[in-house]
Amino acid sequence: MSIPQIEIQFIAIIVAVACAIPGAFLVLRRMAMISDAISHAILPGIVIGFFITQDVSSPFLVLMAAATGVLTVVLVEIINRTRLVKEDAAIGLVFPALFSIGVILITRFAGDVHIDTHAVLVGELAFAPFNQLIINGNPMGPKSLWVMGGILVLSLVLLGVFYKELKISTFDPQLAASLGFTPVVIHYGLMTMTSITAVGAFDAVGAILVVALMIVPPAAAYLMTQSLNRMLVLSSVIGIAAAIAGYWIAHFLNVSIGGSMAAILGFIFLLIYFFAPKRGVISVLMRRKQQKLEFSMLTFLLHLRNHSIENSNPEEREVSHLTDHFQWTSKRAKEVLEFAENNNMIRIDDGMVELTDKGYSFTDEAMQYILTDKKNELESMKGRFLLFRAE
Amino acid sequence: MGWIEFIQELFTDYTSRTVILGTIVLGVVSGTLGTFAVLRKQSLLGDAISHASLPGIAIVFLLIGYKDPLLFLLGAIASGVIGTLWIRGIQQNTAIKSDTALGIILTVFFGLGIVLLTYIQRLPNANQAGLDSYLFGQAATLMMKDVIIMSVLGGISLLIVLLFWKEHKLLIFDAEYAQTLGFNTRFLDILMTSLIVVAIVLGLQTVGVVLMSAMIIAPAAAARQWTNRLSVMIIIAALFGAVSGIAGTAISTSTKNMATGPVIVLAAVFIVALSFVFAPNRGLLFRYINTLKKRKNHEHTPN
Amino acid sequence: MANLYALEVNDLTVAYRYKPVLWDIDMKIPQGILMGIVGPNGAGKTTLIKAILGLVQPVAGSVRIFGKPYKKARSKVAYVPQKGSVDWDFPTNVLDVVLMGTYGKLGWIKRPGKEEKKQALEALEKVGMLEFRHRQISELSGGQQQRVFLARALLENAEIYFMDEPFQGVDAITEKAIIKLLKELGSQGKTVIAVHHDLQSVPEYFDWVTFLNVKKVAAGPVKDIFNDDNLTKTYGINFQLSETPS
Repeated sequence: MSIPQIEIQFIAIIVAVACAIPGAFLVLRRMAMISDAISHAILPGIVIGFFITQDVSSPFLVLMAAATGVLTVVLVEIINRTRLVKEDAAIGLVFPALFSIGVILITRFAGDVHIDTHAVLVGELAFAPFNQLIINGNPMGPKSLWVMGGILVLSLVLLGVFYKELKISTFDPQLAASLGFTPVVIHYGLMTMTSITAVGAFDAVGAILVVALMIVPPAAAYLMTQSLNRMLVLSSVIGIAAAIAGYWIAHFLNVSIGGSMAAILGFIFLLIYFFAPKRGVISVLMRRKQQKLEFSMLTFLLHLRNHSIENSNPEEREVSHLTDHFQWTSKRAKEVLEFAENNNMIRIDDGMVELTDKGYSFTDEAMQYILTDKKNELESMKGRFLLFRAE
Repeated sequence: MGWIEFIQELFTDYTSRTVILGTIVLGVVSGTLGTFAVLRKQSLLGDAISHASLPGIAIVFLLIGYKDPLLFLLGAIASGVIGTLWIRGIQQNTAIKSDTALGIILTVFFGLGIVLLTYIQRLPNANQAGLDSYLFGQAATLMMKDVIIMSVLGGISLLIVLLFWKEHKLLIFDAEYAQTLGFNTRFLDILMTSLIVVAIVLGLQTVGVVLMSAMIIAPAAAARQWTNRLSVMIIIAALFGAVSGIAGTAISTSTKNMATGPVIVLAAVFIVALSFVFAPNRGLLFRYINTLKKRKNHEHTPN
Repeated sequence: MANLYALEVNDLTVAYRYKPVLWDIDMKIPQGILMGIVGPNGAGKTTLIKAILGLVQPVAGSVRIFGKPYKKARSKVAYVPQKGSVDWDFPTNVLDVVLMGTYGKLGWIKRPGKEEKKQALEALEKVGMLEFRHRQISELSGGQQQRVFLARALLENAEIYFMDEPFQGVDAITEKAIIKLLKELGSQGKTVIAVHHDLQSVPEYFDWVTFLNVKKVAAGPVKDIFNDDNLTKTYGINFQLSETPS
């Protein structure tokens, strides 16, 4: 690996982690599309800042462009308050307008701005090592490494100081307000940090793909864990993995680094989406199937119980009638009956179904939980009663 | 080329006429179907769909090796639909919220599209010229063939809108009620979403994947301010769409090196801003005057 | 037809994510009665109506309306959803919303014509909203919105009406209009089944009442079963009618 290669990967890693931190909160606060709006809307700020500073990595430019991002959020909120359009439409109006202004400025003054429209979309990470920070004539590493590193440190410090406030205001805004943290301050703090990060990352991954780094790793982590701490760590790890893998794939295929990072993130998300334990699609669908069978058995047993008490209608207990009643296919009916029999809930004699004693106590308890609205207890009860769980 | 010459040329020059015709079709179709999207609160779904269509275009090019407007459209539709289905899958099968689902599909598909696009750029294939214009749109690349395809697809879409007018209206206003009346709402929902996908894809060459969503939202959002009738809203939206299309194209083609998408979008958003302020009844100016009047009346009536 | 039940529900069970919302509901409702469904929040009142109308898929059980499954009896059924379930900023006017009541009979593609419009105006007259027919729906009060929904249901010319909280958040005029309409429907031999939350007014508005709390607690004529005992069973707290908060 050459030094520029190491530098590029280093920047990519820092960008990934810096994006994952505000990103996790954006995902949890259902504000993912706001980050999309911010990342687009900072473009005119960056371009105008560039006219003034002539340096994409200038801290002044970062602050100025970040202000455009926060302005976008304010603008969306103002439009929402007029109630002239619905919220999603307000977002969808503001950021394309600002982004368009940015693109037009770039194309109009192409000679003066060293950003082309391609870089706007995907960044120019490959060129980052050429823009070195020079102190006393000595190169000190790429400027964007310093800028992004600074942003990451700022982000970590703020996260450390306001961790509790961020957490409470994300999970329970009302409680946060009653505890005296103003959710508004936290909200705009987060918006400011998101904007600053988006501007800093612009150089590396462009305005659109920065959203991939902010949203996809936390969303994937969200499927893996339910704890905020672990979600933050895991998002960072996923971001770093995508940064490194993305870089090398881009290197070998000779394609855009930013695009390749986003595509890898998509691939990682796809894997986790399907295979995450508990919250992945496969596990969810399997659990639903299990719940469906267990629930079918429960309804079946309770129906049986109601009618054995009355005992007036023996045909209510006939196997054929029961399957008719629930409008189950014969396959389904067989499944349910077998499952109930295996669990020792019923006896089948001569085509007539009867509850066992265990079946009676099971239904008794289930009924209690249903009627007292303790529906969550049903699950733990199933654990106690069922010898075999449905698969 | 200045404004006036441009307009003169419009009526004489074949290329300009093609371009203008294309943008009118685009504006009318996106205005009409954008009305549905906005009223269904699916504005941002449009953004995800338009970004998601990029890899479809690139893959079609990699497969056939030349530019074919119809196949590009089909590729874009296919990958837009896959994106939409994945969004629905995420929403239905996981705890991830819908806006995050939109963001994931939008950025990931777009990233993949960029990878493919940069890969295509390195190919020694001379035919690749023009694929880049799908990012920010380039109306000048419109050929008569493109316009004919756009008109046919757009015309069919509008015809379907007319045919199922009452069903679409009912679905947007009260889907459950529609179901109790015996309408197949699942079919209607798929039909409407497909029409929105088509409307988005038709505009990609002119406006580009990055900004096309604005053409779905802006004309409809502006039109909503001027009327309280769905039919009138759709007509006004179509008109606004066409006007911003023409204005944007005129400005961008008369300026060197100017992508069409951003200019059309700015024109459309400008109309929105005017509508927000000046529309009668709903407009901010009207509301402001009304509150002033009320305050005045209040001062004159003794308590 | 005279001796058919207007509504028969057999062992209806509905679950959300495999947690029961309605449990083993049985009911037989004769024709021509006005019935209120009462129960605490989360008792499944709205779900019951939605399950009957096929909007929610039950886990088990069946529903018959005039002896037929819902799909075959659709033309005899009218539905008045909760008024909060739609976006009242939708760009349309009162007459247009009421006309939606004819869409079911018109079927696909066909549009309402003069005859339908005439019926719509009559229905608006009945609910006292004729003068508002060209009013944009966002400019209506809660009570007026409710009356628009009622007029829309009237246009369906049904035999049985399902109403979800028709009295919620309405003004006195609307309340009177709804009661008048209910009585009128009752006198025409139509059946009305309404989710209701104000216990005090049950004896005044309805002939029958169903107490619901996931399971059916009781159902029958108000004079027979509307008592402290059933109220206590349904709401789970000691109930005395005289002290019911309004």
